[in-house]
Amino acid sequence: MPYELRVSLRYLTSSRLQTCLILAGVAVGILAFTFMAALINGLEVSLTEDVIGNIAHVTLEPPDRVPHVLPDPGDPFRPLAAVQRGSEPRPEIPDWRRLERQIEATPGVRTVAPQVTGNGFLHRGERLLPVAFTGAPRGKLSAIVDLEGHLVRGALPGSPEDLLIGVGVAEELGVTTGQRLLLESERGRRRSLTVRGIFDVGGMINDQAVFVDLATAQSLMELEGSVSKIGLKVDDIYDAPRLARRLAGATGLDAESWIEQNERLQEALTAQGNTGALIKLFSLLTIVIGIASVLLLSAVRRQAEIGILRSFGVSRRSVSVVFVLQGLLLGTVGSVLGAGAGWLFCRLLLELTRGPGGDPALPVDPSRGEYGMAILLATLAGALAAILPARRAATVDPVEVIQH
Amino acid sequence: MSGAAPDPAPRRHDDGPAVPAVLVARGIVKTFHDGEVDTEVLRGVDLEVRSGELVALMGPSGSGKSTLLSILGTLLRPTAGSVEITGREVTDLDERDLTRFRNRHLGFVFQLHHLLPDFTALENVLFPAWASRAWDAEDARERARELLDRVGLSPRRDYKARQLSGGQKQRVAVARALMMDPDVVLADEPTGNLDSETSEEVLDLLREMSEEQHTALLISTHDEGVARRCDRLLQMADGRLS
Repeated sequence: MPYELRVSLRYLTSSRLQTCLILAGVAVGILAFTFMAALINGLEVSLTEDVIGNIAHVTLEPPDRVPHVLPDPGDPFRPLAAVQRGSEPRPEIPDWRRLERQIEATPGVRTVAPQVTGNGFLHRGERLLPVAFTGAPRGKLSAIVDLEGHLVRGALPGSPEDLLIGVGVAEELGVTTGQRLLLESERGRRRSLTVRGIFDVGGMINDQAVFVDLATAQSLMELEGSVSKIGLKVDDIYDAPRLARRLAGATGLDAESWIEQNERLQEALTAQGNTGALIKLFSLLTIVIGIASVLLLSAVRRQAEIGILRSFGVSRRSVSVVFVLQGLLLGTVGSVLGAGAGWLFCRLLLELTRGPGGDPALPVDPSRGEYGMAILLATLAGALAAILPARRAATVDPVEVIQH
Repeated sequence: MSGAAPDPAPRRHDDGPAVPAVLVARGIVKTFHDGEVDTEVLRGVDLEVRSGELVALMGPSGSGKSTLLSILGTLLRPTAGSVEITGREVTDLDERDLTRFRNRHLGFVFQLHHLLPDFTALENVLFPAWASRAWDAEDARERARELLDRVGLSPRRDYKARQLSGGQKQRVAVARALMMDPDVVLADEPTGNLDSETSEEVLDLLREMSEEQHTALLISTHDEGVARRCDRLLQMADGRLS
């Protein structure tokens, strides 16, 4: 063991109360750091899952037809021909089966759901309810929204005559499974359908969305043989923008990721992350100030010893190393204790604040407390804090302290 | 050179050849500056100490004894003059080389013993060897144990320095000063804080060990009894040797 380490350890262990107090200070700082990390990261996961749980990570649609003009070569301000947007046929994807296979084969894609979407009304006698309907091939209805996992009654549609509604719609219209409803699309087409199942995924989907078989939606939207868009879920949600760009290039369709569709969420998450980073920075600053003050005190208190060490050949560098090592030891040991306490605190908070539904009061994620980073930063903070005391100790004049 | 002590006749051991001077100081001047006030503490000091020689340095407080010892011990640089130890001019060495030189060639014993209170007697003696990084760990421990045995403190070697009496601490300080088998040991009032009996013991110890290891010993003291037991006496007054 290098003697500088031996001296550092002895200095720390010989002032037990002081060392315990500063270790407790570092540990509390790191507890705050890891708790903030677990909270901010947990909140990010919770908010993101809430937002993306029921939407496609990437949505592929036919490109927007922008109006374009063919100008006269002799007079650029005189159009020879103009193509207006409204004159184009409704956007549709006729070769969706080929594209579905192509997209499914793309690495990083988890599930693909060709869809026909539209707006319409549900009729029950004289009662009318505006709804958004989605049709997908059988077996793909749960690819985007986990309807199967949230069924509260009945089953998923098994035929073109079946309808799946949310608990809000069922309550509003006063229907249950087995009853018939009339769905009228924005194109004016009507189909009489049987309520096959009722789901509860939470939020507005329960009140506004209904699901049907793909053939039914195609018929309602006059899109026989085509789909209006292709939704997909990906393995890594933060890789969605890159995957969207890649698929747009490969398919010729417009592709948009959930991140682009939810810019406000990203802004909120960024602001939240910045706030968390600031709080973590203050925790680290507290650690630096705490360790620096203790070591400065030690450097002053041990001046005579430092002088005598210098007299028999201990270099200024070694004296500095003794103090930097003390800073490193305090930072490391204190932060390991603090990280452990932080993990325990998050676990306890989760368990003790769990409501009747099993959800905790705070969306803390103990597995995302950034413990390694906290220990690393606190160790560096300890070394940083020791610089001033180390410089002070290294400049002790042995003659002065020995003679006095 | 004013105030210089007359060079002693070369000392011979057992009628053998002349013993060379291991410590040579020439024209040492030290002036301290405090604002606009200059205080000349040493005013041209010449001295030589030979290997194995025991030299007493006496003088009233403020005569410059401690400053001279600090300069000879390379802890302080002179304003003018030169210091040679084992034939090497040390006043122009840089800080790093000076620290290394001090570790290998010089030993110190101070009035207040200046042990490290949180370390054991054995560890205090080991420190110069640790600082040199030149010793095998077990060899160093063996040497430190021998020295503590030699000063009669084997039973106390694992005691913390703060648990030792004043005399025991000074014995540990003597052992530490001799750990690196130095050419010169500088002792500043080594018996100043001890009762007469313990003073005698410490002085006997210094003398015996100096003879055994042929170490030159320069002792600053107010005690005429100590001075009488040395080979030679140097008197200091007003920054000069007489």
